[in-house]
Amino acid sequence: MSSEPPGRSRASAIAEGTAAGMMFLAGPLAGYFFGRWVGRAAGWEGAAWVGGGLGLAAAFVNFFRLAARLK
Amino acid sequence: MKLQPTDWLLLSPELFLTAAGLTLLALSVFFGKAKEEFLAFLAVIFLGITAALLTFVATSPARSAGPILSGMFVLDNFALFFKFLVLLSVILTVLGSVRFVGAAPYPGGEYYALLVFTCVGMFFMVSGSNLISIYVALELMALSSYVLAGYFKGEIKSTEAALKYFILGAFSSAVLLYGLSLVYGTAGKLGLAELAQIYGSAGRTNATLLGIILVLAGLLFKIAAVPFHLWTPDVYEGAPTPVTAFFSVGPKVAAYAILARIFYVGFPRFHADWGLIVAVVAAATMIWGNVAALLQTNVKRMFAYSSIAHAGYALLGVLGFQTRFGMWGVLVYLLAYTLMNFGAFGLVIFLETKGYAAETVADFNGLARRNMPAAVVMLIFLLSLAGIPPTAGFIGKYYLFTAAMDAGYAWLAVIAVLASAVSLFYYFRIAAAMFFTEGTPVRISGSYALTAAVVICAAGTLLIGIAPERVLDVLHRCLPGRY
Repeated sequence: MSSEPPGRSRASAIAEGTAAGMMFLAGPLAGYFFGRWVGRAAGWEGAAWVGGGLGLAAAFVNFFRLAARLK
Repeated sequence: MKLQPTDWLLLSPELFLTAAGLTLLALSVFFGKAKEEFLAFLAVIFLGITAALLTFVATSPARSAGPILSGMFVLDNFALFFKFLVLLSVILTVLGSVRFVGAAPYPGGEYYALLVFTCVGMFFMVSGSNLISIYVALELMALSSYVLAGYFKGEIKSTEAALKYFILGAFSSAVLLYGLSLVYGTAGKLGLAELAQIYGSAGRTNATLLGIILVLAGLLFKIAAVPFHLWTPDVYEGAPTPVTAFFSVGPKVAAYAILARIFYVGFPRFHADWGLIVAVVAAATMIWGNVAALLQTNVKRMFAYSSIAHAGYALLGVLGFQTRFGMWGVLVYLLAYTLMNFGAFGLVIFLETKGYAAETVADFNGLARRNMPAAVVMLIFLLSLAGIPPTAGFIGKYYLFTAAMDAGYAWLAVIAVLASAVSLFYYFRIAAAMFFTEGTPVRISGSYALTAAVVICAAGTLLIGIAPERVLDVLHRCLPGRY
């Protein structure tokens, strides 16, 4: 009673799904720390949160791209 | 064993529930298919009376006065918490079943009676303080569950699910029983407190360790932890959806209660031995559950793998039972899990009962356009399952991950966080289907009973997430051994 989507290998489906999920963790974190680094140079602390937000947005863009492809 | 007068009083919820189950069974003979909704209504009334009896027992000073059933039965706050939780899951299941079972060509009276008997088994399970009473109660629950899995006997998937569940369940029961016999053989006692006392002073033998490992294996099957999870996807997919919802919460919660009690009360001395096994199993369960869920397009199978992953998260609390957040985290998480998982399944049933089968993720396409409240509520459950604030799932995960860190299993907490991140993909997939994809324009209006069940779950999920203090305070008083 398997229900795997046709046309995709299990390995690629796992890799793509895992990567898309991980982006929700890695994106905001990377964005936050990059924003903090930029913010220190520019003298604005809020840049860290902007970076985090952009990272999250990037994760969603990546997710929607994959979700659209899965359709 | 002689029953004391107070025993009758303290066992009144179980005795009443047994009588209620028999009554439903007898009435189902006289009530035809047309009047079966009345039996569901009656079942809810019976379960409500049981809740009242439980409240009465909880406030009775007799429950801490002395041993109940010669020490085979315990009624601490831990047992009471799980009884209320089990009762909640059964009430939600009955509410979620009314329309679904009514539309199916099978008698509903027996269905509700079996649910009540399962509840009796779980009541005795969570109160068990003796290995034999725990085993007998577990079998009572399991036997009713096998029948429920195959309740739609004309459908091949349902029959297959029941057969697989029965065969693998019988195998795991045999493993568990063999483990119990080894424990009894080495200690000469079956009471958990006595076992802790004997093992506290005696040395460790290979037979004892083997017994404990086999007991652990038997219980890990019941909570569907890897590598004992193989039954879960097929059973969840094949069983009637309200039964699947029930399996994903009720029996799991009860199994966690006895797993926690046996290892917390009976075998704390061997924590270093079983702790390592539980840690490896928890890691494998979280990883495999989430990775396998990524591959699924069938919603019930996806939630089956998701429930496997959640079993792994809850094991973190059992592992860190000696820390402040360990057992507390298990209680918080199981409460949150019951609400959010049943709620999510409630939405699947919601779509199914209207002749629109929510079999695949694509079946959720455009739900927001057809029924915005249903889509929003589903989103709340999905966010909670993913562990995103401000929901109950976040609070539960926070406690469990903290317990793992405090217990020295930081690596396991890291795996748990990464596994949760992976889970975001398949939960968001359903959310994206609901909000950003065009769907078939089917008008949906749920039954009142199911709507009530889903609203209760959504309210609880949000309440625990937004204002957790009061709930956490109550749950802290429900740790094992507290009265």
